[in-house]
Amino acid sequence: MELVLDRVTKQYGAKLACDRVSARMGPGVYGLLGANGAGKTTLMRMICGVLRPTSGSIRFGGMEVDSEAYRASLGYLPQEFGYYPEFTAQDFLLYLAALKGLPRQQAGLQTEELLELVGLAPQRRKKIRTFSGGMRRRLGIAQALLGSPQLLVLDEPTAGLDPSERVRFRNLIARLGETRTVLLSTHIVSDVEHIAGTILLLKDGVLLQSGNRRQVLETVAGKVWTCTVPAAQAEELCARYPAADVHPEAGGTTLRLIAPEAPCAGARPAEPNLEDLYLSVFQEVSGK
Amino acid sequence: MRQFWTIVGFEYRKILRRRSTWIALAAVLIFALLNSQLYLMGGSYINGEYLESNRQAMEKDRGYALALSGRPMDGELLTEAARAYQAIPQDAELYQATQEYQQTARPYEPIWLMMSNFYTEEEVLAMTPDLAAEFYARRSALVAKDIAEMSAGDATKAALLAWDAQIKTPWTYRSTAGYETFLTALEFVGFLAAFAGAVCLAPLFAGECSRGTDPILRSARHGRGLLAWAKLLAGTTVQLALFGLTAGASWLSFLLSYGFDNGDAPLQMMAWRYNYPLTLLQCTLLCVLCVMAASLMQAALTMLLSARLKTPFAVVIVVTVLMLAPMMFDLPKRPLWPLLLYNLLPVRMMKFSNIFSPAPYELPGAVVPQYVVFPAFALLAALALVFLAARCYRRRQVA
Repeated sequence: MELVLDRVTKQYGAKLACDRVSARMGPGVYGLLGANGAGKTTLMRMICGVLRPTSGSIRFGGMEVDSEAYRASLGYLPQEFGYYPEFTAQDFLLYLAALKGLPRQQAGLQTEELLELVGLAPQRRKKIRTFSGGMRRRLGIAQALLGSPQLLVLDEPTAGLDPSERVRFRNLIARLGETRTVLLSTHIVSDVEHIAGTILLLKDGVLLQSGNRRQVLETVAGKVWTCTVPAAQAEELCARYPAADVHPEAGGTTLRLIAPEAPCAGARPAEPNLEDLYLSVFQEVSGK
Repeated sequence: MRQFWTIVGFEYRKILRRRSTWIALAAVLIFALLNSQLYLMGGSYINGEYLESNRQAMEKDRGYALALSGRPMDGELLTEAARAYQAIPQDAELYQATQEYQQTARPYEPIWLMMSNFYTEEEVLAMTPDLAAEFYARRSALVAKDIAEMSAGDATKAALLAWDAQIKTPWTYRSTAGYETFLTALEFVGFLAAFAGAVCLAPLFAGECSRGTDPILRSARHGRGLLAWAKLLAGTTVQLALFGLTAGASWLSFLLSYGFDNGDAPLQMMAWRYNYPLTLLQCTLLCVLCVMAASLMQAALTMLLSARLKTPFAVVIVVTVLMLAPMMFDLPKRPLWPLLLYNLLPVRMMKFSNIFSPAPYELPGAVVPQYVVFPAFALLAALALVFLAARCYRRRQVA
């Protein structure tokens, strides 16, 4: 089954939140990268059918986005995960299981399995209001997996998770991506780097690029430099170029800069990574 | 189908586990019970001296009424009442302070007060059995005059006269204090139930928005169609339960204070101008039906606003304004049709005087009393509003 976005556009007055985004996504993990306000959440909401596109179409396995069958194949974790404080974790999942159309027995079994999977089994009968942020996030992940959806849309899924939880989650997503389409958006570049087979770059509502890691990094090939300079010069260089890393040391400040050519004498070319690509594309200047 | 009932069960849980639900319920029950006892609080003073508490006065008057209860209000009883009134010294500054009033006239007070609508004071003071026998004819004449002067169609006037002619005479004398107080208080009870409903139901849809659960729900398979109907069913039944509890507690409180008898007294004992041949018990049941239907219509409107607006607070504000505004002013009776239309608003349907006056509804081919039109209209309107709410929720977007 394939998710097909065909010139999907969302316009709010004069502002284009998404501008003719087209993509085809089969089974696998897709990482959606973009700065704040790039249109990632808007695009994901349209894919999940909670926001109607101004124009364009969205289909999964030939099913239209506003059909019940489409929603039956969908699992969604929004960026702002809402919950019912007075519900227990178990209640919450059973409620959503009913909304997803799971028969009662299956709902009960899946609830138990998923609570185990996300490490919330001991807290199944505790009220969600007593949960920490990370626990709520894990509960959100569990509800997205209810019904074994073929299309998983995860918006900032690892926000609030500690490193071990994040690793666990990444492994889970990688396994899920073998047989289903997983689209995740995140600011944590390392998450995308580790698990996404395909990376999509979104800027100002426009899909700039999509491809595997090697393909997208070609944009910044030959543009990543490391150098060690005095502090004053470091400040000047950071003001001029996006800095992926600023590391003060005894002999000076080590910089990792994105520049079309060597930014200073003694600068050495470095192997680009996704963070470099992110800074290059979204022009964020750090170190101030 | 089973999932539908599971979802309904969870919607009940959401409503019942909210603290605001229990606070609203406690508040309306307290107000409803207080309201039933309000009339019995305090006391009366004569010339600065404490005479009796209102409760004592009620019990005393009830005792007097029981002694006369069941007697036909015919020439004999009316003459007796007139004679009791005649015992009051005419030059007394405050007749309630006289012994003659307290001991002789007071037991008959409801009767001679009723007579004062059809007889002058001179006639009461010189009452004879023949004059007393004109009681019902005089009433009929006044009623016919009211109807003739009404700004209504001929069919309405003819229907009112026909209904009035069906009222059995002579009336059977009963104490109407309990029913009268309850029927007057029923408007407030209905308002309380509707307000409690607004507090409980405002978060039904709008709460999902403000809580951020909307995206998860709406992306689920049944998160639009089935979920909307489950919420609407839960909301409607919660409103019914709220009304039942509030009205039931209030009615029980009134009955325990004022007694369980006297339901067979004619409506005219309480409001002589009204034309419908109904007993007080029938009126009470019809009023309860009208107020219940009106509160359901109000609940449906609350749910529609909840589906439309983004926060429960905004819903409560709008609903409160929509409930309070029509209670604050009346329309004139000429022409009649704007007033009759205005009375189709939910809070207007809860008022006793609107349920039995000023006029029925003239529809193509029939003249239908308000106590039929109100519940029928309210229930149909509630159904339409519920469908609109479902449609509104289905089409809502998460921006």
